[in-house]
Amino acid sequence: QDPAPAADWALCPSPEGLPLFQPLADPATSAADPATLATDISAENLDVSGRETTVFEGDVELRRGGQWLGTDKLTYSHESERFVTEGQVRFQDDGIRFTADQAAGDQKADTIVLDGVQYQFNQNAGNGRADRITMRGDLGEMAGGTYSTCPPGQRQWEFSASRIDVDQEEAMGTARNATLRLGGVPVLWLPYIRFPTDDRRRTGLLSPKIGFDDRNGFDYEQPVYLNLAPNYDATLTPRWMARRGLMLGAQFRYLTARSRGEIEGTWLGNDDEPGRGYDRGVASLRHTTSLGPNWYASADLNHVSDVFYFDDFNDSLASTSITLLPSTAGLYGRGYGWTASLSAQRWQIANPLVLPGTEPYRRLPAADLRWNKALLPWMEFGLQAEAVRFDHETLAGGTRVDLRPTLRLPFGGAAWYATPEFSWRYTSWSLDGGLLAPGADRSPTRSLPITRFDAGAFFEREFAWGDGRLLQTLEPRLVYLNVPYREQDDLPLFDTQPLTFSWPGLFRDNRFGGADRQADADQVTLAVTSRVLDTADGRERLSASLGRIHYFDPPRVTVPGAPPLSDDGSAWVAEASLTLGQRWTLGLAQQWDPDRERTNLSAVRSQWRFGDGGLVNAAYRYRADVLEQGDLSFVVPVNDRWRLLGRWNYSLRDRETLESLAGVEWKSCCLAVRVLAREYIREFGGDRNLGIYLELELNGVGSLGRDTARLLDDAILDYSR
Amino acid sequence: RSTDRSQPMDIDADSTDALLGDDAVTTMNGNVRIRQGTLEVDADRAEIHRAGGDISQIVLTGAPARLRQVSDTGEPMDARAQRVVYDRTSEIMVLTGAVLIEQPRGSVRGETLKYNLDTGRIEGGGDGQGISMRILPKTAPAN
Amino acid sequence: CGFRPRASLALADELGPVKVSTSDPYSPLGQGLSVALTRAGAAPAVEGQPSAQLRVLSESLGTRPLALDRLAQVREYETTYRVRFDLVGADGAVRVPAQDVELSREYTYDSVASAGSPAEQALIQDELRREMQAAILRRLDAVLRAD
Repeated sequence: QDPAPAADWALCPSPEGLPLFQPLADPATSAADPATLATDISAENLDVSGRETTVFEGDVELRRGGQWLGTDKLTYSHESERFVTEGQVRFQDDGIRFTADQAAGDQKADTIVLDGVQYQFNQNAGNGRADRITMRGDLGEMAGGTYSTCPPGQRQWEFSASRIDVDQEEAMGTARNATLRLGGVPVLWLPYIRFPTDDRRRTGLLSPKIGFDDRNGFDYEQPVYLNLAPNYDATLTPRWMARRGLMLGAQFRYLTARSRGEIEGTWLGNDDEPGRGYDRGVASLRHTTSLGPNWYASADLNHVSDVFYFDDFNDSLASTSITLLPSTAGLYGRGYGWTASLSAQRWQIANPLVLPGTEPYRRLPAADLRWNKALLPWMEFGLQAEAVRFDHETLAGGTRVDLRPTLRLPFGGAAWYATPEFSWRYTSWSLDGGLLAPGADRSPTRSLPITRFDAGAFFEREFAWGDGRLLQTLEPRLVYLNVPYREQDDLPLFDTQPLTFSWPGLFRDNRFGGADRQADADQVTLAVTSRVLDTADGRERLSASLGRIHYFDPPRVTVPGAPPLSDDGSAWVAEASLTLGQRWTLGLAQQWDPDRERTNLSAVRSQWRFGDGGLVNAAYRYRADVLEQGDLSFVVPVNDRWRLLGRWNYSLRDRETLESLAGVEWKSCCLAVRVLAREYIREFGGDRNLGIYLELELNGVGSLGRDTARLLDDAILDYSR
Repeated sequence: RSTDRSQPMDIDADSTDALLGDDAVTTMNGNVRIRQGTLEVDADRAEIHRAGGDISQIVLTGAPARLRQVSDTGEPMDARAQRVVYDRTSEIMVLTGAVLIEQPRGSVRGETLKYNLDTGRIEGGGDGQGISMRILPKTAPAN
Repeated sequence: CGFRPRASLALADELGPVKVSTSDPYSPLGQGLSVALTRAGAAPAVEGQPSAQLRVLSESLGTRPLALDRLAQVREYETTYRVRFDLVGADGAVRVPAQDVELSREYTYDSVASAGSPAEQALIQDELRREMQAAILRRLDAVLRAD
């Protein structure tokens, strides 16, 4: 949500706001060093009789560089280059403008001291009063000041502080010993807050997150933003929960010439909740270092104290249902026609329903190389190689090397392509003792050719539609795949499972993810796609696809628990998506299994945008034997102040609501208040968590309150877009 | 400056047509130069009005007429204007037309200025233009 | 019914040399688009000479739970790849207005047997990248052909 544009108080017009006294000077003029600038003072009359002083009277205006000052009477002493005003003073420079009872300036030191001040920033809606303001070049220091982006007459929220410093160069304000008043009622005291004085920066004051839910009772979180240096800053976030105690959160971001990263963590000393009386917390490090044009190193390490953490402390179904916490670190390289990586990866179980020992194998390390070279326009040679050492907490590990040289002959023209592809897959394992049945081979290998022929054509026609022209394409495609059968039942299963059957599944050369299994195949895929593109901007208005795999020879390679395959062929796969104007999109997906005459998958998803930020998402998902759900979410602007938000995720299969959310948002020109009620199921025991969350957004001061865009984005698709 | 008035005033010009008589007007044309104490006046044309034998008013015009003087505080003043009317009885000098008064403290500009030699007060001539003074920072060389 | 084979891709003559620029220097999409453009006949840009610019303005690749069961266990994840791009001619005129392309793929997940999930996610991300290259080229071709 963009902070209110400068002084745009459309929602609450206010006469008391300070008008712009002067057209804003072109910043270039005030860039010069003030000390060298001449001071021009105009008035109705002036008195040069004084020893070293000139007294100006009547509509006095003083100008220097970008500074302008207007008053009734001004006495300028030339020796000391100081002036004092009498009568109401108006002052303006590039960033800020005031009215004051009295002002005294020192042109040599380039300072102006104003008393009894009302001020207004030029670049954003920030304004307020101060007992005294000392302007020193770009720096302003207010004593006994107030700050808000609400118009002077309607103080829905206001900060008062013993001292507010404004750095116009950085366009940041810092308040010390600040008290936040909502509608005049003091609600929050902060030792130190920072806020942007123009809309260049998004960061700024981070406001309290106030909520109440079944798990933690009253839940109050107060981030404090510390801008330590231009290239690193930190946010400390104490969070007090009635039923658990005080949790400390910290986030440290850093940026150097070649690296950037973020260290984040929370820590709660011996949780007061019965049954959880130990230390709780999560820690994560994200870091990237560039090592030149082609190589970079990166790390994404995470650790959580216990499996109940996310369920206890996160706030949405999406974030509480985290099951595995990955940690990856490695060296990655990418160049023209090649990518390579050497990385390590491990998983930590973060969900009580995942039994210890069932987490995926650790890859300590995994080396991966993909290289591709066009020897001739119609001949390409490629190599895909992977070597991985698998390790596991409880299961025996092993090492696997998978090599796959490929020769591709991409023939084709504008309207057709035919690409025979011959590759040889050689995979060898060396297994630790524990994995072996007695007498089995410790270092099995599997070696087989993969032959693939991928051919397609493009037909098209243009036709007029409304006042534009549309281009419709018809793209038939045929893929023949032949992979001989190899006995693989006694090979280990480190990282391999059947892939979800879907549209890309029609064209893959392996039904399994991971190299532990290579599916046998003697099959042909027939598919067709038609698209309608708008020739004005290229946007795809419609696309519809249909396809199926026909088995000449039924596949035999399988893994325990894999879905049974029919002899004749795969399920039919149909997909379509439709976009009408900018407002309405529809997506359909259907899989029909002719062999068992049943629908494997049926999904409908539509989104409708209306009015100013109105949004409705409706979706239905059915996956045989797995789930059948409806999901409705909406944002309805009632008028320019009120908006209703909601989501309802209902499982038809279990006849139960999975997550429901209802919220109302009231917005004025400078304040947004959101109240959200959210209920979602919790993992075990099927009980539910009901949370009520209050969210304040002080416009123009950076977003304030629970990161609603993320919170609602989880719930309401594209809320933030 | 206040001492100037007691100083002898000598005036000369290319041509003068003086009319005798206490209330006559003397008109001088071409390179008019008036010197009295620290007061130095140069103009193209001057009219000197007399009342009761004393000079009551001097009207100077030039392109521009120029008037220099040193104030009691020792500050030199250099004024230029297309037309200067100096009324000796009220000690008011009215300068009109691209008026520029330069002093070390700053230069004053305006279209119509009333300069009171006694009080040192300069008034904008009420023509809506007002007057303005440009003050240079001490460090910068006077332009 | 009016369909005829697609005429030659309009990229070559309409555009002249094309340079692909991405916000993330290591983005595989940038590499992929350069290769695809060259194969489609566009001349690669020569340093220092004016060239059309295919600008990948922003990329975001994310995976989030799509469907959960009554035990709050994720049963389907959705990986979404969203790219915002535009095409500016060598003369600076915008040939294809900035627009978003969003592709997403779902895959099932079973928290009890989740060993293969990482491999599937990596495969889906690769497939989405190749699909994105084709989608962007299609849009360029549709607009340039109509000019």
